[in-house]
Amino acid sequence: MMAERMQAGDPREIVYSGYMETNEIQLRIDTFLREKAYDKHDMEHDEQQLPEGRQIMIRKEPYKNVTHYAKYVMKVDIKAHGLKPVSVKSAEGRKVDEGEISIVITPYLQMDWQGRWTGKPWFYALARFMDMFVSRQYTRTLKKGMREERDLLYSELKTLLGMK
Amino acid sequence: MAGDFNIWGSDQHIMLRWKGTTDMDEVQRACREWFSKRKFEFHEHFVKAKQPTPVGEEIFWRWMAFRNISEYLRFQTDIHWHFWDWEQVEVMQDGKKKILSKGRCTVTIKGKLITDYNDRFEGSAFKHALREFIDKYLFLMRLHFWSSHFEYAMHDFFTMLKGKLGMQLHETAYHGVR
Repeated sequence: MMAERMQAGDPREIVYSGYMETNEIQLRIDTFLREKAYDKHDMEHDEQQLPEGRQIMIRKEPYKNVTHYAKYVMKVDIKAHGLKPVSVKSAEGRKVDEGEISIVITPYLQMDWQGRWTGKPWFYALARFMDMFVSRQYTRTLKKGMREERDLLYSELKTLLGMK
Repeated sequence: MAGDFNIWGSDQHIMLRWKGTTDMDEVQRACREWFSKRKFEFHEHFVKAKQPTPVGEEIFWRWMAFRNISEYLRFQTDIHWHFWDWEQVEVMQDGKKKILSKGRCTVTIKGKLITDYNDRFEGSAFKHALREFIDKYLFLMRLHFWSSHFEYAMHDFFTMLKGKLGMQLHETAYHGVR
């Protein structure tokens, strides 16, 4: 039996096309998550050089154990396609690409991440009952904290891409 | 049976998909070096190559590397490579002819902690129950600690591999985290 994972809020999506520093975007996400004490967990990295440009797909699921029972999982999906290097360079001398990128940030709250309440069916039912009714306020507070971190990352990426 | 704990949770692994041209000998050498520097025992225990087609070969590699942390605990990683349309190409690099490999590949990296790898707690139901008790209660924090340690080690390997394959987004903000 798996630990319970619930979505803590709606996903936030950024779609941008134009000039961008793809390395800087990835680094900014990593830096943000590290500063917020998330553990790194890059699940998938797909990169292909196609005739129409470079195609990149990255799935990250960094997590933070907030308590011995609850854990934050910030899922970040990055999809970029048609990336072509351009001759201009950024102020820091980094390579700049032209193309389209989409970043989706979905916050999840994972309860009982140690799997201590999943051994027996009635243990599982009791844990879910506790989450839903007894410690409901606590679960809500955790979800709110998770949403705040999602919004911070979202606005940081928007600023980086120069979006309003 | 010895107990095993997947460091990324049950049925979880990290995966890389890539298409391009690279010096595969160099990549292999770098991978082996990475493991030997960190005192891992490295085994390449399976290779399979299918009949080449006009678009290239299909090849499978399976690698396994492990490190004994103590007499009771071992970390083991399994790396599966799957190549498609794999062929050798000749390119000019710095005025010299060089043979590189071209195609696409998938690399799957799994990692687990194995308790009682010497099978000392085997042979009776009591010993088996004792091992389960040790893993579940006495060694739990130690398992979490080593799991986190090797998780970062494998991410470090993943980053190194991305760099060697010439992937664009291989930089990370997690350098030096243990």
